[in-house]
Amino acid sequence: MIFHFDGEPIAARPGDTVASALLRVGKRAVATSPYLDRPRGVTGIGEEESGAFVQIVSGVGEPMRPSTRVEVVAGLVVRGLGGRGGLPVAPDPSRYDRAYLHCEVLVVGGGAAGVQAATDAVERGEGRIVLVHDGPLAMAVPDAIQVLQRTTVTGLFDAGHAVALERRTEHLLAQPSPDVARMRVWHIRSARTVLATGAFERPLAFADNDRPGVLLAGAAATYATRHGVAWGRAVVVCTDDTGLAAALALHDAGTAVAVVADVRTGLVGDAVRALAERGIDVRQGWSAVGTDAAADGGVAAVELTPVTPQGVVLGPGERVPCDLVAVNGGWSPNVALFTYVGGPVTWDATRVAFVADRARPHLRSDVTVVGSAAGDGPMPANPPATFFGAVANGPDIASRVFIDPGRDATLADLHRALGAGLRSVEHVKRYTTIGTGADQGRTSGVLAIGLMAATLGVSPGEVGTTTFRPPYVPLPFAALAGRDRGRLSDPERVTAMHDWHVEHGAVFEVVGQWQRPHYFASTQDESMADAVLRECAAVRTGVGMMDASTLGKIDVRGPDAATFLDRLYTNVMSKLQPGRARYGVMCGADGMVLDDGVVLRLAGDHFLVTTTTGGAARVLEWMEEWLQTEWPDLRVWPTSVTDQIATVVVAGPGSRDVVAAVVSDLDVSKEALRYLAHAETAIAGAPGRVTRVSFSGELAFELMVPAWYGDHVWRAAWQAGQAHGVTAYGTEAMHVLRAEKGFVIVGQETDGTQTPDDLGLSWLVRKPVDRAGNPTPDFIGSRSFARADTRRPHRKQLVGLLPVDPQRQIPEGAQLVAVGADLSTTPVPMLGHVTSSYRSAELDRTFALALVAGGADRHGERLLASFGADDAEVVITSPVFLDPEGARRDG
Amino acid sequence: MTVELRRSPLAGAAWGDAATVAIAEVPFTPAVELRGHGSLQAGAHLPEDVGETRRLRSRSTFARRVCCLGPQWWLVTGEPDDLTLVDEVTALVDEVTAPVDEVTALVDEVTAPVDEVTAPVDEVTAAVTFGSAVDVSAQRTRIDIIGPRWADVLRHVWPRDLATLTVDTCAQGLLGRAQALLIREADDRVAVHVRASFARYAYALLTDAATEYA
Repeated sequence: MIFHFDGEPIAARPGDTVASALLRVGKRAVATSPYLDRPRGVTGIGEEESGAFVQIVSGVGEPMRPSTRVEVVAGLVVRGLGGRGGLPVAPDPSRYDRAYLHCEVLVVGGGAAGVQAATDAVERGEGRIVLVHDGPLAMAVPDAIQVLQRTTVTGLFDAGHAVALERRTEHLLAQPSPDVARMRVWHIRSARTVLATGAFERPLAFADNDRPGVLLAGAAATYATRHGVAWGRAVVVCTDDTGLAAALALHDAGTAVAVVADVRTGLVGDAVRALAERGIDVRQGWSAVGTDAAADGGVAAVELTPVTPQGVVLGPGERVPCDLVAVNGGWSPNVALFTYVGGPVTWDATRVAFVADRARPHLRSDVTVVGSAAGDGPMPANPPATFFGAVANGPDIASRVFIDPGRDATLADLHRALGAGLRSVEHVKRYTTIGTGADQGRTSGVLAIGLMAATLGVSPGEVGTTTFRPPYVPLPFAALAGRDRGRLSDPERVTAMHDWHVEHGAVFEVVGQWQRPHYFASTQDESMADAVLRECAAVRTGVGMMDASTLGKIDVRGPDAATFLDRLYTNVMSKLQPGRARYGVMCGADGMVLDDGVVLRLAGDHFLVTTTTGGAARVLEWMEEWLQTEWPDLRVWPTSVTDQIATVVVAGPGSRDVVAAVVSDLDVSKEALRYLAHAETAIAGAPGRVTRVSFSGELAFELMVPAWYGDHVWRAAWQAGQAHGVTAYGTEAMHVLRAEKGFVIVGQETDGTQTPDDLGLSWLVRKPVDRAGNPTPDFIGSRSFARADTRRPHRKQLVGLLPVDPQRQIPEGAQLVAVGADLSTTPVPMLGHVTSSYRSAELDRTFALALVAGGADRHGERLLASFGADDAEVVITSPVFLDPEGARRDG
Repeated sequence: MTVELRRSPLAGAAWGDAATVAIAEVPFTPAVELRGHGSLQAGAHLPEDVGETRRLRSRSTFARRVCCLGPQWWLVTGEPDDLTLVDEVTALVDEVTAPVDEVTALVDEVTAPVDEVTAPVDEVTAAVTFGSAVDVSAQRTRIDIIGPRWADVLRHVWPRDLATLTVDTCAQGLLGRAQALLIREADDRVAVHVRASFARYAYALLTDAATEYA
C-alpha cells in the first residue's frame, strides 16, 4: 500500500498510521515547529502526539491532524505541517451528520479496563451498553455491546450527556459513496458513564528534547512490537518501572538498547534482573541533559549524566550515540472528561500523578473512572520518582528545554512567567501558552506543573492543574453543523400559496421564519421601488391581493373566554357581538405594547384572535402562562390555528366586486357586511369566512379558509380579479399603505417602551370607570399606566414626518434633533427617531413615521433628521396622511 | 365542501422504498385538539399520561386515535377519508348536554361503560365535556416514515429516546428545528405530524437523514 508524504511515495502495511509507516522507513523529521522552525518528529502513538502533525491534502483535506491518528489508505496524500495548517480553499462537498444515541451504560475507552467494564456490565445484565473508542481495541468485545469505532468523546456534560466525533470514511480503502456522511457527531445520553480513558506517558525536560527521534518510551516500544519499526540504537531515559519494561520490549523486538538511564537508585525486581541478563547497561541515578542532532535534524546522540533526585546535574556525563531516545517521565491519568462534569482531581505523591479524587463525588453526572485513568493497578517493584527533568547550567540552555513543543514553549518561558511574579498555574498557562496547543497539554501539562513546583519549592499538588475544557479533540465546524447547512440551516416556513408567489416573480423576505413576498417584480428589470409604487397604486385605485396567512391565529374558547380577553387586551372584548371583529392591543405588565391584532367573535364563548406574524408563539405562551399560573379558575383554552387557516386579503376600491365573484351565498354589500363584520360562507367552493377589515384604509376583505384550500381560493380570487386588473402585493407595499394611514406595526414603531398612548391609541384603552361611573375590570398593564413615567407629557409619541424636500427619503433609524442644533458637539440632544420611511404613490412624495418627544403637540414644527454625515429638514405632521375621516374603507 | 379543491402541504410527496425506508405524506388527515377542564378523571378511559395514546372505536369504520399531549390536552386524529371525525368530535363540546350513552357510543373507549360508572349521571356528562374542540386538520400534515430503518433515520433528527416510542405511544419534541408530534403507528411505521408551514422543511430534513439508508 502506497501513500505520499511530502511528494514522496511511502510503502505502508495494513494497520499502519502515517506515524508508524514513516518511522518504519526511517523518516524521523516529519514537520516543523510553529514558531521556531525546528524539525519535529513523532513523539507519541495516540492523541497525545505533540510533534508530528500533518496536513491531509488528498480528498477533502484537513489542515492539521496528528500523524499518529491518521490511518494509511491507498492514495492518501499528506504533507508535514510547516508550522501551522491552512484550511483547504475548495468548498467541501462532503456530508456531515449528527445522531442521537441513548443507552444505560456508556464506556469511554477500549483499552483493557474499558472492555472489561463493558463486559462486566453485560454480565450484570445491564441493557444498552455503548463503548466508544478510537484506535485498536485491547481485546474482543461481546456482541451485546455497541462499539463506536474511530470515535472520540469530545465533551461530557451534565446528566449523562456526552458528545463524540466519529470519523467514518477516511479509513476506507474504496472511495465511499458521496451519500455517506464523512463525520458524525454523536449526542449520547447514558444513565451511567464509565471512563476508561487511560493515561498519558510524560516526557522529561532536558536540552533539545524536541529533536525527532526523542519519543515517549511506551510509544517507541509499541512501534517496535506492533508495527515492526526497527529503531537501530536506542537509549532509554526513565523515572518508573514502565520505562524499564519499555527497554526490555525494545530489546526483545530487536532494537539495540545501548543504555538505560534511570534517575532512581537501588532498583530491585524482575525488570532490572531481566535487563541485566540481556547485558543492558542500566545507569541508576542517571538521566539525560541534552541531545545532538544528525543531518536530518533528528537525534544523533544523547548526553547522559548522574543527577540528584531533585534534578541537580552532578556530572561528568557521557555522550551516547543513538537513533532513538525513549523517554519515560511517569504517567498522567487522563482525567479531562472526569473534570468536565465537576470531578475533582488530587495529587497522589505515591503515584506521582494527578488522579481522579473518587472520595469526593461532586459530580453532575453518574460517572465512574476505571483503569489507569484512575491510577489503578498494583504498586510497582520500585516506586516512581518525583522527577521532571535535568537541566545543566549554562547560557540559553533553558530556551532549548521544550515543555510544550506544539507551542514552542520552553523552560525559559516558564522561568519568565514565574519571574514576572505569576504563581497561579492558570496565569502561567496563559503567559507561556503551555497546554494550549492541539494536544491540549496532554503531555506538557503535568510536566509544566512539576517544573513550576520544583522552581517554587512546593509540591505539584499545591500548584494544581489547569482547567480542562471541551472539546477534548478538535471538532471541525462542518461536523458540528451536521446537516444544518444550506436550506436546512434554518427552516423556511411557507404558506399554502407559496408556489403561486414563486411562479409570479415574488421576491421574498424572511419574517420570523416565514417566507413572505416582499414585492412581486412584474418584469425582470423592475426595481423594488417601482414595484412597490405600482402595487400601492393598485390598492389605492383598483384592487390588490396579499397573502396574510402568516399572521398568528389563536382559537380562544370556553365559557370565560370573553373575561379572559378583557384582561388581556386594553379594550373591552366582552361587548363584541358574535359576527363582529375589533382591533385591539395587548400590553405587558409594564404597560408597554406587546402585540396587536384583530379579534373576531365567533360565538358567545368562542373567539378567533389574530396576532402579528412574529408574535404568534409569544402571544400563545403569554395566554397559557396567565391561564396556568394566575387564572387557573378561568375556563378558557387557547389553541394555535396559525397553520390551519390561510388568509387572502383582497383590498382596494374594486375588492368588493372580486370578493362577490368568489362568494356566492353571502351578500358582501356595504349594508349587509359592514366594516368589522365577518361571516361564514363558501368561498370558491371552500368552507370559509369573510371579514371586512382593512390595514390599508381602503375597502378590504380577508378571506379565511382551511389551509388545504388556500392555494385554490387564492387562484380563484386571482382569476376573478383579472377583470378588475388585480395586482398581487407584498409586505413592502402593505407597510407603505398602512403607514399612509398611520397604522403602527408592533416591532417597527415599537421597541417595548411604547404605551398605547404613545402610539396615539388611547382610544383603545378602557377608562378606569365606565360612563355609568362603575369601575371597569383590570387588564394586564393597566396599573402601570398610573406610573409617573408612563404619564409624563414629553414621552416620545408617534408623529408623521414630511421631508421639506419631497423627493428626499429619510433612512429609518435616523435621529431627530432641533433645527440649528450644533452637530459638532456631542452628545446632541436627541428628540426622537424615524421608525418607518417610504415613498408614497398616493401622496406623490416621501413621508415617514417617527417617535418624537412630546410629538403629539408639535405638529407643524420643523426638526432636523440626521443620518450618517448627512441631514435633512422635516416637518412634523399627524401620522394619518390619508383619508383621516375613514371614508374609503367602505368603498 | 369540495374535497377535490384541497391541496396538501406536500401534495402527497413520497420518497424511498419501504423495504428499507420510505417517507411519504399522508395528506388530509383529520384532527381535532381537545382541551378539557374539571372532572375528567371520572371519565377514566382517556389517556392521562403524556405520550399515551388510545385507539378509538367509532361508529364509522375508520380507525381513530386520541393522543395525550399534556394535562387535559388531547389530539384526536383519524384516517384521511374520515370526513365526519371533525364534526363528531367537535360535537362533544357543542353538545354539552348530550346524553351519556350517545357520547359513549361515539367514542367507546373515551368513557367507562355507563354501568361501571358509579358517579351520578350529571357528573359523567361533565366528565366528557371538553372545554374546547378545535379543528386542526390543516394545522399539521402527517409524514410517515415506513420500513425497518425508520429509527435509523429518526435518530439523526430526533433527540429523544426512540426505544421509548413503543407502538401506540406518541412523543412531542423538535424534529431538527421544527416542532413535531410522533406517533408510533406500527412496528415499522411512525407518523410525524408537523405544522403545515414546516412540512417542506421536515420532508427535506427526513429525506436528507434517510440518504444513507434508502
